[in-house]
Amino acid sequence: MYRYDEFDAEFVKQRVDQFRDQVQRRVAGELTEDEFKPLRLMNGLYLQLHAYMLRVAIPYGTLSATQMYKLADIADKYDKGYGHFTTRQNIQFNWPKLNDVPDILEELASVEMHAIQTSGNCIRNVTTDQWAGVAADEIEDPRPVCELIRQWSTLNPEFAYLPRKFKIAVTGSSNDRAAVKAHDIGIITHKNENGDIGYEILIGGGLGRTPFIGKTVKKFVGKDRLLAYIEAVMRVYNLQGRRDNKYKARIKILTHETGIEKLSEMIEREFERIDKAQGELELAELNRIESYFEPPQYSSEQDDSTALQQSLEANEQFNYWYNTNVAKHQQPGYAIVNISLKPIEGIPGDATSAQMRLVAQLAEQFSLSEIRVTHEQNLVLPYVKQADLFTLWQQLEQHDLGNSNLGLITDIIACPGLDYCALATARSIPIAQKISKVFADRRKQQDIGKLQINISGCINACGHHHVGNIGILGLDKKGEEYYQITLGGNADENAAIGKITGPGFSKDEIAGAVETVVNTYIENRQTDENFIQTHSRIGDVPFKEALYGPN
Amino acid sequence: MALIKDHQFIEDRWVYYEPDLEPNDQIQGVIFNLQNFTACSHNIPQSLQLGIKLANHDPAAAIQQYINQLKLVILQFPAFADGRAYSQAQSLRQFGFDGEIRATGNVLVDQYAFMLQCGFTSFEIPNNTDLEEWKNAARIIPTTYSRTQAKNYSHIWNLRKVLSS
Ligand code: SF4
Repeated sequence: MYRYDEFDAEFVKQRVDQFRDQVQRRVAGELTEDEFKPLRLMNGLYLQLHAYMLRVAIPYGTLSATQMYKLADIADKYDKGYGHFTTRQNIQFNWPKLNDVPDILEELASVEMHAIQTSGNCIRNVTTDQWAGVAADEIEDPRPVCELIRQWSTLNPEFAYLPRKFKIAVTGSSNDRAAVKAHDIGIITHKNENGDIGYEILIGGGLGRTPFIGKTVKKFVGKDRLLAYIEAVMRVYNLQGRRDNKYKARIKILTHETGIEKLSEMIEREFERIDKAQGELELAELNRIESYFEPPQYSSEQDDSTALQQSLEANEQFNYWYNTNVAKHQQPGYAIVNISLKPIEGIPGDATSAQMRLVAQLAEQFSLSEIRVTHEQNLVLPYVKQADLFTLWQQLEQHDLGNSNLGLITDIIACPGLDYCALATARSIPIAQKISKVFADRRKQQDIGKLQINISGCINACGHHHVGNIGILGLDKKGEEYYQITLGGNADENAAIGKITGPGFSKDEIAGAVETVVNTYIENRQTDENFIQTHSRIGDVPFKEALYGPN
Repeated sequence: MALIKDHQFIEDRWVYYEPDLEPNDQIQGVIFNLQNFTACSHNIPQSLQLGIKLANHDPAAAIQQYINQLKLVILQFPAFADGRAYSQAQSLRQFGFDGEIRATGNVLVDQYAFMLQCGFTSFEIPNNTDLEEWKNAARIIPTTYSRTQAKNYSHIWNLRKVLSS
């Protein structure tokens, strides 16, 4: 993975010093909260319902064991012993004290981490496929491009005060596990007829109050011109994006109101103006970064060894976990292990410091000291030998991390909701817990198959409910929480926005309503059809009738 | 308001265009807006320099053709969080404009380094400002990963290239 050189280290250190000075001015009363707010937001520090919340960037979801140990220490020392992994591959600490934040940032800097641009109207943490570099279906490891963008966008002076926040995601595979079509800029890696790698650029995807799926604005841009193209998009957006209404300020609205053809002409004009010579420097830097992501020295292993087969036959639970949570690796004899942070009735994405340390230790022992964080709020050990799977699973089991539900109905994505978030209109965590209880039985889950539920606690849609196969949106009706259901959303390469079924349900009804939806699928499905396939074949009507009776 | 350049107060010897403007030794140049520039700039005596104040919605490309005649462009920050002028400044430098780019409006010390890097060279700020603070703000992070127009910020990718060659 990427390592800081002296320039990166010095840069982050200077940024911490700068923020320490700003916090001191705030504490001394030289800065008012109004003046301090934009400064703290540039460093990921929010003021929440009960306390400050610090959001730490995990660039493109890649963590070393050392970094994970540090996050565990921070959770113990400055928080209540846990952290929350988010849908943007970041981690949030919910209870830091303002005075401690500069020290936390300094500790993070010591392990090459920071909180720069995890909030504010700027370019946020770049996200990607959690299986980057190991996925069997990959065209190129997307992380060097992500790191290039991370550096280029860090304190980029031109794009620090955009109309609104700006999110970029990259996929190196045509199977999109990074939800790139739900981002302000989505980047899809392609190989052309000449065998050259280049990038398709999509703009204007985004969820929130007005969800849109991103549209292709450039079919193929070469490596030496990628940043120039992104710069052109950013400049046009910075100048043309709406600033009169924060709900209309994202690039998706500009794209919608201007039209993709006209906007792409404007971007193209800007792109042509950008100095081509600059591409050489970028390419040199990309090459330097790529050297950090060379595949590791794999040992020569065989796929599906007899030892693995024997363990699978001998232990039904292991077998079940293997089939849900282990994915195919590029390298024979290796496997990608997905650790679900969604125990039945747990809080999606939460991990205790003990769990973080365990995962760090397992990464050291079994996964070349590397960990990934997924946008589904789970963790990944990317380099596990198949021969080690059984031992690894036993240790996960012992620490409540052996949940065999990856991609299943209880692998719920939920935002913090009213339990933490100042903007929430309803709670999300208790709803996730209720639903996971209803479907706790693992045979039932397995029978239902692949099904993604997403829950947001308000229309800002941080739980990405629009792209959940079943989406749940918490609202407030005269002081009562109630929940709207959307069906048919999808975050992968067939991205789609779900449609609202009809009137919402109370907090006591919602889990039952989800059960009704699931039963309708089971009654209607054909052999081997998963939920989303059945839904797209039969449409909304049977589900609506089941929920609300025949019209 | 006062004007600073290189973290020093300087005298502002530019005036806004008026039809009955009387030139004198004190006046360095005249500032137009985009509309009256084309119509009126030729009425100004040769001895005076020309400047333009762009609105945030004026495209920088609209003055590309005049860049060799201009000595000053003023860009505006209606609020510090409105970052359009950063892109306008970058575009002007990209077009080869090498005169003064002046920041006006909600110009605060916390954005000073960003403005310098985007190519701003002078700043309208309140009279009683402590310039030590501005000087420090300019130097606290002297490197960058992005395009910089100010020579005293080093691009980290260039530094790496130099180191490795
Ligand atoms: S969706 Fe709403 S409630 Fe949930 S985290 Fe976002 S802003 Fe808060």
